[in-house]
Amino acid sequence: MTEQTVFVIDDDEAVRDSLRLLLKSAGLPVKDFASAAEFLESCDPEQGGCLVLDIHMPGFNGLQLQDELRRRGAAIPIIFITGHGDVPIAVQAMKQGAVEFLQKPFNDEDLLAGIRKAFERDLEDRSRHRHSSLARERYATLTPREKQVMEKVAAGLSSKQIAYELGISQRTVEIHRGAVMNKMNADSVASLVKMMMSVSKE
Amino acid sequence: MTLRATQQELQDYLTLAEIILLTLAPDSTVVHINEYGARLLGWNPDEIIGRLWIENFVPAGHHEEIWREFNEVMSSNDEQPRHFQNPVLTRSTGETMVFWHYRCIRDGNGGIARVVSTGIDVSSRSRAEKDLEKSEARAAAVLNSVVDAIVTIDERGIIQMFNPAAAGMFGYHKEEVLGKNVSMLMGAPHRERHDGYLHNYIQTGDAKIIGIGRELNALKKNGEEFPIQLTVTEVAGDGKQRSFTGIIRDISERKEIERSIRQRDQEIREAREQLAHMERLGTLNAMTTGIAHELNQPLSAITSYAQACYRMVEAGMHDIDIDELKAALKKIGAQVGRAGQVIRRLRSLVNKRDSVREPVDINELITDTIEITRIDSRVREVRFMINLAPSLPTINIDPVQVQQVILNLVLNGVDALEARDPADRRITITTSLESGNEIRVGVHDNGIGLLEEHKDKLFNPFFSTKSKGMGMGLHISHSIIAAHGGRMAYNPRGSSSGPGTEFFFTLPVTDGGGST
Repeated sequence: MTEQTVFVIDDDEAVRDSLRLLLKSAGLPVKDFASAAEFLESCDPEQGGCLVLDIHMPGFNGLQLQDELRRRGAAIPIIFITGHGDVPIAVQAMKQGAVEFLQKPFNDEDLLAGIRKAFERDLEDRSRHRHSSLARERYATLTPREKQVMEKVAAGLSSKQIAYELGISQRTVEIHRGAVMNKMNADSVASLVKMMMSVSKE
Repeated sequence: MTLRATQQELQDYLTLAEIILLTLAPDSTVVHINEYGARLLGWNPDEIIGRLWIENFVPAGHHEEIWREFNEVMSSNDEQPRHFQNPVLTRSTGETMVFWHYRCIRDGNGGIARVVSTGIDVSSRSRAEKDLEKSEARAAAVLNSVVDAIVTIDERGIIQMFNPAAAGMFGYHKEEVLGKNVSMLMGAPHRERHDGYLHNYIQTGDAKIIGIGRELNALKKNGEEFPIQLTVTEVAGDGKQRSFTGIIRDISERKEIERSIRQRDQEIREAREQLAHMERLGTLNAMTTGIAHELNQPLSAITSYAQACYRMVEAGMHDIDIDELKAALKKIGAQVGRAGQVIRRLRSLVNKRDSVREPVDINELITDTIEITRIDSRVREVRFMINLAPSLPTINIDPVQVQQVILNLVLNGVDALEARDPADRRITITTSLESGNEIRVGVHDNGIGLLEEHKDKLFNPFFSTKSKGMGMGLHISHSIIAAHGGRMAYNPRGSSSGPGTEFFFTLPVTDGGGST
């Protein structure tokens, strides 16, 4: 498992510095940035961890950064912090998948709890991401006929029905089906269905 | 010869004594009239003698009474002289009044009678008497009818005259004050000092009030004091006795009007200050979220530093980075100062207070004000270009009010920039010394510019182009600057500095201010 880092992004130097010290004293790896642009420059979409992100910043604000990260397919969880509680903005941020919305000044326990939650989600997301990318890789190795068969198996059709629909013999369907289960490394129809879902999500 | 001479002598005496000599027959025919008498009527004696006196020389309106008196004299045996006064007709002026002494004389037989009269022309005298009477009456009428009270005193301060208006004003009857000291009509402190004033004036001729007039308090009979305007003139008396006439006007009403005008002015000023205060609160209200943000930043940093310190200490003394801990504690202090600074800046906007003037460095005030505007989140997207002239003289102003003006202009500028790309929003603030005696402060934005149809109305109350604006900002700013003896205007900039608008105001440099 890769190391998870807390990325603090706030234009206020004192807030940034104090958060860096707080998180460091809590034993968490921290990197801080004065602006969204600065973060995006050094951002690796694969890096693990979470963002502690100020909403109100000149130029690129917190919500815009959230949009930009989603556009880039970076699923890193976000904890928003704000100098004033603005309900509509909080609602929008949460709808867009923020883990937590904290109003300054906040308690360290609330922040750390948020970070723990974000780290968990980050782990899940990344393992799901790993699974689906594995499924996509395997799916790519299937022949067009095998892809057709996999699709119909995942849709719940019997071999007989598949044979009828595709105009091939039931025996041929069985052979393709065996190849699909093998190539996809699926141990059951259920896991095949799961893989099919993460493949077709794209 | 001797007789003749004696007769002529007699005539001369009579003429010199201005005495008329007239002898009438019983039918009033003139038997004799002397030179003086005839000439008084404008004729020669010859032209009168032989004519009927009453018919020709007495005005028709008096005929009846003269005849009655004449017949009475003729029929009486009384030898005592009688007198009578009646007008007679003259050739030139019409009538003249003559006062007669007369009696009837008879010859030895008690037969033919004559009325002999001596007369004095009293017209000239009676005219003078009448004039005197008239002028006295007129003076009395004036004194009695004037609204102003008039009191005359002698050089010892004793009241000699007290007109009805004075009686009405002071509540005394004339009889109650005549012959008494005028100080009884005066309020403190003059009441006790008046004799001294008078004495001093008589001795030195040094006039404190005579011919000058002043306002002071007078005292009514009922003890009530009231404000008067007193004018005193010295009247040259006959002989060495001097007297002084005081004309007294009750100015209670004028004082009351003055007081109510002062009160009205005070109310207007208070209302203006109230309005300015409300406008400041409005500005503040618009910045509430910004203020919360600006206070929460340092509070947040303080909390995090404190919690970090706690964790560091808790982690164990042997692990502690003592320098880092000390630095964090120091930073907490700095952040407390930062929060305090925000509150200090805002306090001037919130406080309601009377206008005060104090020497102010305008550049410092502007720098401070821009810090306040930065609290407004919209302002954080704007780039400020600050061109402050060095070493400007300090000016005597109300810093809170002028700060309000600067704040108003900057926030208006920020509003005007809304349509511009955030990267391109610019506000330029300049100060300069103009012609040595005024400071000019300009706030230029590169925003959308003024609409032609708005230009006339900019400084009007309740004029606003903003949906949430009260429309009082520029109006109040304008009146604040005017109250400081400066002026405020706008300057639609040409293409040289790009589009946009500059609002500017001037403030006079007074002698009181020094160089910074």
